[in-house]
Parts: sequence; C-alpha cells; structure tokens
Amino acid sequence: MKIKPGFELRKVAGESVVVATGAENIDFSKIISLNTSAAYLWDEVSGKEFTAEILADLLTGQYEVTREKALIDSEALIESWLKAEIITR
Amino acid sequence: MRRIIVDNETLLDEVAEITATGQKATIRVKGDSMRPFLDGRRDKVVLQKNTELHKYDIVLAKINHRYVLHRIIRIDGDKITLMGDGNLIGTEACLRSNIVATAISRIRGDKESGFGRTGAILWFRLRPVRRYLLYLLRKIGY
Repeated sequence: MKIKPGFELRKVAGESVVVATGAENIDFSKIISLNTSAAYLWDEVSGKEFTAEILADLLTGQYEVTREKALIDSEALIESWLKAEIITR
Repeated sequence: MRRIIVDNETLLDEVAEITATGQKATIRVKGDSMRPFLDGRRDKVVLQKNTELHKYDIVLAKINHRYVLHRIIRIDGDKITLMGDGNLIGTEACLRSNIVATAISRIRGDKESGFGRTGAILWFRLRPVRRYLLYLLRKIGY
C-alpha cells in the first residue's frame, strides 16, 4: 500500500484532513478527515510502502492496544482509505 | 471515517489563506446565486488570487464574515460592486480588500473551462428580463 501522489494532510478548522493537491492547486471539494491515530499513521507512512502489519506495529508502539485489535483496526483503516481512493494497493 | 460539518466561513478562511500565498484552490459551488453560469448542484471553481480585478470577473469576496462568489459589475477606484448572475436585484458593495480570489475556471464533471466575457456581458445587459430568462431556464431543467 502506498499513499497516492498528490494527497497530503492539512489542518483545517482544527481537524486533520486529507486534501488532493496538484499543480499548486488544492482541491477542497473532496476532503477526508482523519482522527488522531489515523493522522499519526498517515504521517508515519508518508512516502513509504506499508501494510496492515506495519500500521499495527505503529499503533502498538504508540497506543495502549493489543496487537490483534491494532491489526483489525489497521485493516479496516486501509479498506476505508482504499474506498476513499487516497491510497493504492 | 466520520463526516464533520465545518461552517462556510471557517473553510473559506482556509481557502483565503491558501490563495493568498499564490496557490490555487478548488471549491464546490454552493447555491443558485450564480445561475446560469454556475450550478450549485454540480460545479466547482478554481480560485486564484489575481492582482488585477476586471469588470465581469467572478470573485470570492468576504463581506462582514459572509463569503459570496459573485460577479464584479462595477469598479469605482477602490469600491467594488458585486452581483450574483442568478439574483434579480441584490448587489453587494465592498472594497478591493474584501476580494479574496478570482474564479479562473469552472469544473463540471471532468471538463474544465474558462469564463468568457461575452456571455457575461450579454447576461448583464439582459437584467431587465433576467427574471423571465431564469424562469425559462429552470423550466428546461438548466
């Protein structure tokens, strides 16, 4: 999995949102908000290849959560990011 | 992922900050005030801060905490008069400093097109019958 080029995290009205940027144009017509842990993961895997396992490792390293739960959450997050078309397989 | 509602002013303040740096920003069009040129149901516009303002430019302006995306119909030194193409009589008066950015193109579906002046000028001249034209356009689903 990799974050699609042209998508970045910005703080808008106190929320972390993913916006499409491209050719010095920021598209506010499609913005996706991320909660704190999702924003943390996004920042960590920015520019890198990642898998659900990698995300789960990051979660267990940062938060009080079991590996099983972290993996389930990571897989769900990846599914939602794929659905929002902000990452590629 | 959850859906959050951000009020207009907050979001457009962010757009204003971005365009102030010279970057372009794309936003959805909201409402019918710029019919028939902009359709609040499906259009987006690309905004960019322009140093020069011209009559008939479509601009984003902030007037008393309220943002409007309307057309410049008069420039009198520092004083600017705006009017929505879909409005019948209301106009907004503001100063150059209230103008945030200019709409440089419209995105409808995957087609991006610039704004021509001829249509805008014609539409402005037809103000006396605008009410009827808007009615007819609505009737044909435009």
